[in-house]
Amino acid sequence: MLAFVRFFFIAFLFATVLYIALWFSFRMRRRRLILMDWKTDHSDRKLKTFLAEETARYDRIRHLSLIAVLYVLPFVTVTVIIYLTNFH
Amino acid sequence: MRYVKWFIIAIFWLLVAAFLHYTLPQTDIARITDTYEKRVDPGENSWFWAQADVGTDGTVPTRDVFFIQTRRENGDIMVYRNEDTGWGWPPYFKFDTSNLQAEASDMRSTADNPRWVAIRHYGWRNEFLTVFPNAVSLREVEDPNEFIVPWVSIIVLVLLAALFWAIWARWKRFWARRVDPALTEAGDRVAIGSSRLRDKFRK
Repeated sequence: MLAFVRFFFIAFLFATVLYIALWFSFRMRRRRLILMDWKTDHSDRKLKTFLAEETARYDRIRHLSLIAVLYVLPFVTVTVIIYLTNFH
Repeated sequence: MRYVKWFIIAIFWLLVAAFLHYTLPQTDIARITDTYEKRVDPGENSWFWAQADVGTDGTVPTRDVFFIQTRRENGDIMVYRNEDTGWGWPPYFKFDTSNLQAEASDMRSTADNPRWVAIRHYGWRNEFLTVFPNAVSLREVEDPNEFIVPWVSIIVLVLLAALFWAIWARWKRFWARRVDPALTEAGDRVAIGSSRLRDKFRK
């Protein structure tokens, strides 16, 4: 039982560190892209509101996709491996 | 100096290759001749043994380990250990050691009337260190020469190559954008400083 708890704790910690690092680095890149987008296509709108709106939109998408890739996908993979190794 | 650099790089990749060769699954087709259980006291070779079965006391130094003896079609002998990998490394998450041993015992056959079994395993056999590959799963096959596509290894290697490439490309870009200009600037400054110093002493 202890090995099981330790495994999931370490995996959770690892995923969380990756989540934080990737969240910030993707956000930085996205802000730059939004700014470029504003310069080329949306310069008629106020920069501050445009930036805030677009950032919030992409924050949500980034949050969901990172949760899927870093938490859900590894969990499903481990479950599938356990099934295939032991019960198939 | 260049030779030293290439030597270190070669050693690094050799270690990576050995690690992957040990860890990734391979499949042998063989005939199970017997199964047995033996007490094992891991010593110098303890790296190549897994831990005690999940849920049992892992602090006791000795334990019984299941073994599966086989013979391939070409006459080669191979002995597999059969141990839980549990929640540890390598990540096969194998908990069904005893069930696997029951299956293996059931699949025993003789040379006169052979039953061929595909044995998925990882690890190496080394006689000098008393090291055995760990059997992960068994499946009966018709033909002892059947070709089994190593899908898992292919997928893992492709993913690892992609990951390595992604890190390498970013590292190169980071070096070109941030480190090289900084080094050039530092070099320039040193040059300016030294020429100034030289001018001072010339006067």
